[in-house]
Amino acid sequence: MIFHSFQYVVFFVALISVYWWLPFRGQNLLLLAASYFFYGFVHPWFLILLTATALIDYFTSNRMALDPARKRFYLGITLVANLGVLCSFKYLDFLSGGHALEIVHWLGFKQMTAQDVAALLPVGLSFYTFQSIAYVMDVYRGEIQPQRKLLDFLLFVSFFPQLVAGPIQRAAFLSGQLTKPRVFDARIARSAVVLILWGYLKKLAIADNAATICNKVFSLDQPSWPVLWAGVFAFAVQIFADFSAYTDIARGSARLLGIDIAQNFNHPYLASSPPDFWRRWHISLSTWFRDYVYIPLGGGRCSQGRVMVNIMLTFLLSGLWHGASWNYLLWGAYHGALLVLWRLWERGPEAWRPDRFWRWPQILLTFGLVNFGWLLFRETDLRMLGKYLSSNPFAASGAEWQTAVYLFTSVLLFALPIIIQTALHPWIERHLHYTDDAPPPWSWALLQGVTAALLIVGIRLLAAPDSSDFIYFQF
Amino acid sequence: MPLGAISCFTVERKDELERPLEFDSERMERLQNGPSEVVLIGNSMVYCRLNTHYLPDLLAPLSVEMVTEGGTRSLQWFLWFKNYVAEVKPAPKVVLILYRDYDFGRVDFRVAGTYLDTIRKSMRKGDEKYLWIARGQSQIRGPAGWLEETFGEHPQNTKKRKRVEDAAMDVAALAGSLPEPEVRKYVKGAFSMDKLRSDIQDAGASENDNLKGIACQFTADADKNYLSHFDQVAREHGIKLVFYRVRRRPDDSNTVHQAATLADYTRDFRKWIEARGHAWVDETDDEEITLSMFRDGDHLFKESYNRYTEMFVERIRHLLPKPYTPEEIAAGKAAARNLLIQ
Repeated sequence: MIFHSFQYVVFFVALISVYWWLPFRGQNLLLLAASYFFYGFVHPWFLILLTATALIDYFTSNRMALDPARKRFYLGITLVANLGVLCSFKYLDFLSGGHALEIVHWLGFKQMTAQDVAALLPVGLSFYTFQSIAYVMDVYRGEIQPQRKLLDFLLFVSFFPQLVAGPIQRAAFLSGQLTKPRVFDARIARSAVVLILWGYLKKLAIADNAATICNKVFSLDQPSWPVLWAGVFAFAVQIFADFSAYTDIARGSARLLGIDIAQNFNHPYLASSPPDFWRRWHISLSTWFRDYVYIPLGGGRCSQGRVMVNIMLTFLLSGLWHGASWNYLLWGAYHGALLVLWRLWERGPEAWRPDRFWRWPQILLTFGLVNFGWLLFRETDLRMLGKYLSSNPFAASGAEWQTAVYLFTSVLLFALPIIIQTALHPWIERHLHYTDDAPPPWSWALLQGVTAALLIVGIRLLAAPDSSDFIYFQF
Repeated sequence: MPLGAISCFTVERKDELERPLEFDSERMERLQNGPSEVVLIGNSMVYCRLNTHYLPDLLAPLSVEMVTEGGTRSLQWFLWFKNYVAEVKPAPKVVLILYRDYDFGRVDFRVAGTYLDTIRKSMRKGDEKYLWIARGQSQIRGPAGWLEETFGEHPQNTKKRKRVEDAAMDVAALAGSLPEPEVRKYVKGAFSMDKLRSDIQDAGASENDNLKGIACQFTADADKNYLSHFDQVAREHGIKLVFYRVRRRPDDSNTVHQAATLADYTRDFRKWIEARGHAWVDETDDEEITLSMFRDGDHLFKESYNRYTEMFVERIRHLLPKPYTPEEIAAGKAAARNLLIQ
């Protein structure tokens, strides 16, 4: 089920209307049933895989507590199961050099077509697998106690708002909330509605409109240099608006259920360096890789050369996490290299260090570097990528530059709500979010009502006619 | 308050979006200037397989006209047929429609966004009902209909989005030497179908491959697709229709695999066509159209166009009509003149 569908609205309204009438255990049972319905709505097959891996993780984590001497063995079982499933369904075609269909036929499923094989990949597999791995790793390290109640654990893995495209939650944060009674708070509920509407605006009116422009450019056989980069800019807006919209709707939905989900974005295009970008972009995945790959590899506490290797390895894996394709690997390698180079620059002569420059040029430079990365991310055809990279800005005619200005301005105008929100962010933080010294409820409610109305009008007036799936569904 | 905000913007009727746009009369004039005994309708399956310059030579002394645009599907084809091709005096004798597998079954494909504009330019007053078929709205009632009415594509929405694009166009005009109308024209040309990657031009065929369920079962129900409408218009104007199913890209063994559902659909489709006195041609199993002729998707290499055109002509030769007699042309032109005067 997708967030921007009529089914989801009906599903969620029906859920909420029953949810708050139930006692705590009943709420959890209902949430689990709802999560399974939500996920199984796409394809019931997905539930088998989700439940199977969750059961393995549940039993291994509990065995670790009962039999600490063999916890390494149980961790191994979990890793093999989760990564095995991930590799089998997501990377089989890539690892076998495009022979997944032959392998499936060899296994005896001769009736299956390439489309059938592609449809087997459960949406959100990378997200919930990583969430489960993090949970078992935390139990292994003794940072959390294993979840004894199977129902609560299954709910932790399958909690529907963040199941398909994150944010990837840590057990210490989410599981704790799922095992405690929840209290309805009208102020939080109102802020959740605003957050959901903001998410819908970003998806339908910004991301989908930017997508139309971006798709047009990337459909061209030979885009000129300025047109190509206007298209890349459109993609930068699209992917941010799209992914952060999903997060906002997920967080808003969870908040209406009395559960808080961690933030995934913090104005990433205001980052003043590549490391800063990764502290602001897809935070739940970046911190996952930091905690479960980079630090176990030695992190930053080893020789300079080893640190660089650690960074490169982490980012290569991060690229591969996004998909079984060379362009994602290239994108990961590019960002790894950026971080390594930035690290060297920061350790260079003091007069030339990046912090000696003004902040805005740094932000612009970072944005430009990130955009180059988006080109690698967006174009899956390496032949076309080569064509793009060899295009010459000086060969473009005046008309092509004007076309690029038209595309760029269109995207910028569609992205205005995000720009305004970014500018107003400090004020919004003070006035629209719940704080102890919040103004009286009536003014709050009024402000939120006006904001909600404006958002609805914005969606109504600017929503693109052709809406697509959220980009991160494919990962 | 949010509901109030919604109602403010639902006062304007949604069906404004479904009204015809300014009719593309240039196309009509071009067809009338023919006139042609044979007309081909379709998408890139016409111009990315056939040599459109060589074909008239092979069909001479018959005259042939092609009404095509990349990416179009059955609603667009029907509107071209009804409002242009069949309206030419004298009417063509044979109209061939080049299609792939489920093109006539899936009527909701490519009827929104830019495709909607092109469709509306081919519509005449009263043709809105054909758009409703594509949208399945003739059946939509109750909550789903209300929802579509309230949250579906909306004229205000289109206008506001157009204003954003117009503002961007103004900025682009200020940024260079070309005035705004010239920039607009250049942008339109820069994204025309022939500038697209060939795999994109061919997109849609693969989407048809993924069809499951409803569209896979053949029906000629007038509320579900345009087949019976095609038949009705053809009868009214004495036109013979030829549904020409092109061979899709074969696999390495030069075979085009068809699912059992597609085979059933095709069998029923053929039966329906032939029962109405029209013709059906299928080149799916023609192994002479080899994989080496295919460039990407279902498009052919330019070097293969001539060979394919010759094969195409051989396959339809028995369906070709006699040329117009001078009397037929004169009567047709007179009828066209009279219509113009009226």
